[in-house]
Amino acid sequence: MKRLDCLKLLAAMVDPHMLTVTSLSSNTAFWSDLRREGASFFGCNMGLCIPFALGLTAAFPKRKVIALDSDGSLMNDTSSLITLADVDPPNFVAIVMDNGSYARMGSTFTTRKTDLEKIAQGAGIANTATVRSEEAFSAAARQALESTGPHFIVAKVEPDRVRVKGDPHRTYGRFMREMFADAVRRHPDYQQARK
Amino acid sequence: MKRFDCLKILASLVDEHMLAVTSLSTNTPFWFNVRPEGPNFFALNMGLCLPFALGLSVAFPKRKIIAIDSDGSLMNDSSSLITVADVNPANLVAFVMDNGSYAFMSSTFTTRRTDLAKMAQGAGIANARTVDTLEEFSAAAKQAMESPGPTLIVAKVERDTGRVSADRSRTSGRPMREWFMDAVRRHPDYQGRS
Repeated sequence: MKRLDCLKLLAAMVDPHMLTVTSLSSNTAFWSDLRREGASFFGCNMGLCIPFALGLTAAFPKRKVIALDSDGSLMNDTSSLITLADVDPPNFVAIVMDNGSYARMGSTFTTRKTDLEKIAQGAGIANTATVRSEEAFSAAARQALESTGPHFIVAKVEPDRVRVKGDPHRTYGRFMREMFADAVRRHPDYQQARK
Repeated sequence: MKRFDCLKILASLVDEHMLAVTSLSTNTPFWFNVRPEGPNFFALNMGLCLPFALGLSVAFPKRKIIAIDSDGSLMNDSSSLITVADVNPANLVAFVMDNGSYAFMSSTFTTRRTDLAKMAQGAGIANARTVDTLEEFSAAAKQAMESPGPTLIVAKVERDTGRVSADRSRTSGRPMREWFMDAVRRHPDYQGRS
């Protein structure tokens, strides 16, 4: 299963008001290519994708928040899953793209023994899945977007052979953050959300 | 099940050469009371008990290393479980004294949903289990001491009602570290500095 194919399926399900957060590296480049409009926060540093998304779920309880994390990033702070389980946000969907390696380090493996889904279950997240085919990914993602969370999905993907170069303006720094904040403000509920 | 009773049982299983590492707070004075001699490294900061013990297990592969951690501390860096699983040290035994709270913060809960033994299994530590009674604790600890690890035992203990005091010069700072090093050097296998 390829990461890009999973993300294409996901992009087709995501409406413009859902908030998405991506980890560094491939997820950011691929996702910025697929979702050009809408509230997307790109390039969260190692370990910070799920915690950042968790903060958004508290700030915007009426919108789905989708964290597109990766195995190397999540392993930097698996304790964030404990906090996620404890806060228990119904509007949270975490999707972990697990290629078993730190892709930008010449395919250094992340771990040889770890089952991230089981760690999430141990942390206390009830709705978890590991998927290995596009059909299973599609079904799990759809179910997660349509039902009460938090959801945690591990997608076992191949290491990427191709690189996509994301537009640095749209995926990094102040301009990215302003695009994100603008998209957040366009939501009809925004004023209510602030109160 | 009381933490102090567990630690007394554990102290009876530990020989003079085993290296012990404790987390901050209650584990430190209790363990000092039951094992004042021998190589003890006390009061590792939040999240650092297990990683420090992992380093010792690599440095001293022929000795048992005993990490006496606690739930609040381990939750500060549960990712260290992944590293332990990957390094897979046969001589590491980790105990997590889980009282469900940050005892020094007037019983603030740590988490209401988490199963640390399951997280450890997910990380890849096959010998990870939870014990609820002293008999279970005793049997699990004995077995862990006698068989190859890594092993992780989560001991569900009550909140401590009494506090135990310990000699600070033996449980913190430079004197503690020197005491630890002296005890390490007394081992017949100690190679010394190269």
